[in-house]
Amino acid sequence: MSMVNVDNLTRVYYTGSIRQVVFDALSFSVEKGETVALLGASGSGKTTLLNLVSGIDSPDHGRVLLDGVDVHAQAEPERTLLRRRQIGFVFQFFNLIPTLKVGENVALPLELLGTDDSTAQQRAAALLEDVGLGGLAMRYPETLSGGEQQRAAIARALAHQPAVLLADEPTGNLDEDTGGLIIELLTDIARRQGTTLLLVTHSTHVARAADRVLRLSHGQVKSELMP
Amino acid sequence: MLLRAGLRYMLRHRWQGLLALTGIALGVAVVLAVDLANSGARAAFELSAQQLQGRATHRLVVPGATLPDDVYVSLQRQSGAPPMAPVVNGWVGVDGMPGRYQLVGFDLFAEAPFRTALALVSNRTGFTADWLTQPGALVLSAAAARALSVAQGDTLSIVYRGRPARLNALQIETYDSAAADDLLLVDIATAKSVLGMQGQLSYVDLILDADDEQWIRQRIPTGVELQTVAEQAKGVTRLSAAFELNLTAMSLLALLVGMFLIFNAMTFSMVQRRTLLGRLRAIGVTPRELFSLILLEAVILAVLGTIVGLVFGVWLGQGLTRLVAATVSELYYNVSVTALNLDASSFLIAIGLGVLATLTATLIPAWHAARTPPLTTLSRAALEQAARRGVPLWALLGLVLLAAGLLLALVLPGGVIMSFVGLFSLVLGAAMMTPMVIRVLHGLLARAALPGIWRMGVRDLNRHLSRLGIAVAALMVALSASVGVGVMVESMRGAVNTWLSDLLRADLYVAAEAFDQGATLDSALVEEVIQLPSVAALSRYRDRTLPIAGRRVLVTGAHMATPSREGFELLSDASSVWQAFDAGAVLVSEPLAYHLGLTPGASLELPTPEGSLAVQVAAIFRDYASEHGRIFINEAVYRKAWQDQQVNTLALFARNGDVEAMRREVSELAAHHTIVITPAGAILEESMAVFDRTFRVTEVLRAVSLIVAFIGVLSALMALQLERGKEYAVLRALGLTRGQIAGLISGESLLMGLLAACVALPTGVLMAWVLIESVQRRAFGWTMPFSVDGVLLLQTLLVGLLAAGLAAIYPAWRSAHRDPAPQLRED
Repeated sequence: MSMVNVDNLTRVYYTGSIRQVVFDALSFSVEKGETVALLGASGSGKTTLLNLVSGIDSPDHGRVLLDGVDVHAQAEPERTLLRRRQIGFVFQFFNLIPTLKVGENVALPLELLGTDDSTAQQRAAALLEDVGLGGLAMRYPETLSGGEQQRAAIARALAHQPAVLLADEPTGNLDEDTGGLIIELLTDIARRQGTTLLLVTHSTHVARAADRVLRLSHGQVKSELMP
Repeated sequence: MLLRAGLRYMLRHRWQGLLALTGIALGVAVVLAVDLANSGARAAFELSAQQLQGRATHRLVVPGATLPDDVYVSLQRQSGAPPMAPVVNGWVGVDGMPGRYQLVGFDLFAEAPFRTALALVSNRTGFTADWLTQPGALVLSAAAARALSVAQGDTLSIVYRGRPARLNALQIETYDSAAADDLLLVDIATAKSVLGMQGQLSYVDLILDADDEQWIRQRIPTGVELQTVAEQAKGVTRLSAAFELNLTAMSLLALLVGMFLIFNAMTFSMVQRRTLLGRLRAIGVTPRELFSLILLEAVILAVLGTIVGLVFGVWLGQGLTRLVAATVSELYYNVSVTALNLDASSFLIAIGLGVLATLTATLIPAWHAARTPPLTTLSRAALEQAARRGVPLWALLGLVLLAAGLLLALVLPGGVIMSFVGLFSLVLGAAMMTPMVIRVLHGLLARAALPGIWRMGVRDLNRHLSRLGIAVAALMVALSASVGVGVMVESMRGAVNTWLSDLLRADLYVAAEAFDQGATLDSALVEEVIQLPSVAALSRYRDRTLPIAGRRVLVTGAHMATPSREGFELLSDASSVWQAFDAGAVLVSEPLAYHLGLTPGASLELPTPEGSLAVQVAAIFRDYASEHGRIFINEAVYRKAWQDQQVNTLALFARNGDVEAMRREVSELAAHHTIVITPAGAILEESMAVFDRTFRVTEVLRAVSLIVAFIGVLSALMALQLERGKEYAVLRALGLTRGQIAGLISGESLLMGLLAACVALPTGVLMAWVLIESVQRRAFGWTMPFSVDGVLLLQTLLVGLLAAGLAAIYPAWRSAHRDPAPQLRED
């Protein structure tokens, strides 16, 4: 059964009178536990697609089914709660909350779900160990290197054991070696936890880590490649 | 090119530029508005004195009495006499109109060298003949005519000490000035007739050089004094001292709030542009060039913000001035300050504040930006770390300022100016300590097991100390001013209430109908009241204003029944005071004793028509009736020294407590005499109503400073929301609902309000302490019990929370409804 089902999705942007079609009747699906890389050049709409899948952005036409639930048929508060429970995010610029310590950043999704404080802290500590940041829980994000921040972001994205992990250019702001380690970590944990991973990248090198690659071009998935 | 880059940045980030401009403009506006209102009130008082003073340099008077006509006539007839103009004046009521008007009688032929405006009146053809021949001919200003609804040719009914009189509006002049609004100009003969001053003058104005002064001094009889107009004006302007002091205090506090607003706005503006500045350093802009660029931009912003602030300040000042004028009219005499008194010094202070505070606020971040290596210039963390490192130093400096303020105001000798310097230093010190208090309180709150987003809110405040600290300090200053002035007013209200309740021991008070214009009771009536069977005891009072050591002191010749004596709160040893009083010693009010350094046993000279009367001080009593001072003297001694048997007021005590019976009997007497019978309760009520009216302007100014602080918090939150847009977007992506985002921002804002109130409450109480123990004492000479009302403190806490809560509404709504998608993509 598909975990993510993108069906006939259309998204158009208007810049003044200029109409820009980002997607036109885009359709694809991602199976449960599958790791899929969404490969595309800059401006091809990769991030927009992730935002549509997560319900942050809304399509002009079409629908996104997440574990069978039509994301955009939900009202905004329900979409937010769906995201809270089902989705984990990893961003290019890490986007850790600067006013929370690393451990607290990781525990935040759990706290939002109402997990008690000590359980959340324990889970966060365990995840930080998993991503190689054991002992850094009490540090603030700004004191960590880029690679360390992205590891913390991965731990945060996985903390609440989401069904789907959305990673937006997770290595885009890292050097090649660190990026390689991060991708390895991300795909490894996702596979171990059975989490569906949708990985957006412009790098074919990164895309190789996926089970399957979808190439996004001119608003369409042009080809499906196996790495 | 560099400047263009900076200015374009501001144009692209209009909100940030607008917030900085708003901060500067508001700071300038509030200071200018309060100062304009303040100088408007002062000018109204001073102009009133100057209007009559004209070019006169000296004045001939008989202290506490009128000047016989003969003195003027005999001097004027002598050869070599300098220019002199006789004047008769008095305060009259106008039928059906509130307030009092000054009836001024002058001699048209003697006026020319003195008061050009008044002399110009006679220029119209035929005027002089009409003026001299028409009975009750009146000239009044256009503004006064409008206020009184009088047109040329109309009759105006006036009342002086219960006696009606009619004046005919001969001419309505256009020499409008604030002071002319309360003047009714008549011929000197008319004034004498209306005011019952046949053969008497109020004073004679003179234009004297040194030789002339010598000439006059050699020729004036005993009892007549030659005073400079400066000495005269002092008495008039002092009338408003209490009122003006309130405005000055509020003006100073507005200045402080304004400074913090500007500081707040500029710090924000700098912090938000750190990336641009870092990039400029990276491409080779030298530290010096960067520093100059930042300062140049600050000057441009300062000038623009100041211009907007001046315009807004004039507008706000108009409203405040009207309010001040209304209060002055209600409490003292009619002024209709319709036009603003555009005092240059008010503008200079406001401009100076706008430019200097902006530049000062820019200096520290500019210095940081210029000295840090390229690309790391003003990184968020570096800047916040620098701000946090500075917190202990600021707190230490603040503590020193606070202690110095208390020392200046309460310990070291000095006048009221020194008290205000101390007050200013105290508040500034407390404001500088605010970030440290935030940090300490944050530490306590952080230990509490708060849920994630609330923990985030608490921590945000500490971690954004460089921005939020100043906004909290601005709100703190406004709230502490509110507490300080509030506690002072409440303490004074309580003290006045207790004092009056003690003093007003009698059951009924009887006075002539026009008692407020100095009318006295018929001696026959006084005798009749004494004979009434329902009256168990009575006290008699006769008031006279005398100049003593440059003050207008109210001297009361009193025959006091025992209960009346018990109403005095004596501030010195009370034993044998009344025996001494009966033997001729006097009771001196606390303000007068303070200013003249009098203690029980000291001697004092009172001017009488027969020369000085030396009296001993029996005791000092608590008094809030007059800051100029009051003296009670035994009636027998008074009557002998002043040859005056008149009585202004009777205080009656009912036999067997039957007040109704006494009221009936006294009311029967009222059928034959124009008297006013007032129970003590009514006097107390009216007095407290006057008290409340006096402080109404203060209340409005408190509200204005709170509104300004509210806008300060709003600006701070708005700027912060702009900066933290991405953070909120991430939280939205993680699953925080719009409501939670709004709740987070509101929570942070409420926390700011709470912290501001926490610092403001003790600071405000300290301010009140200084206002009561130092400012009031040094300005007026009176002391009062210090009472802090818990309700007022609670109110301030709630106002702080309310201001912060309201300020959060828009930023919270805006952040919650912002599309997170574009921000998630940005670095």
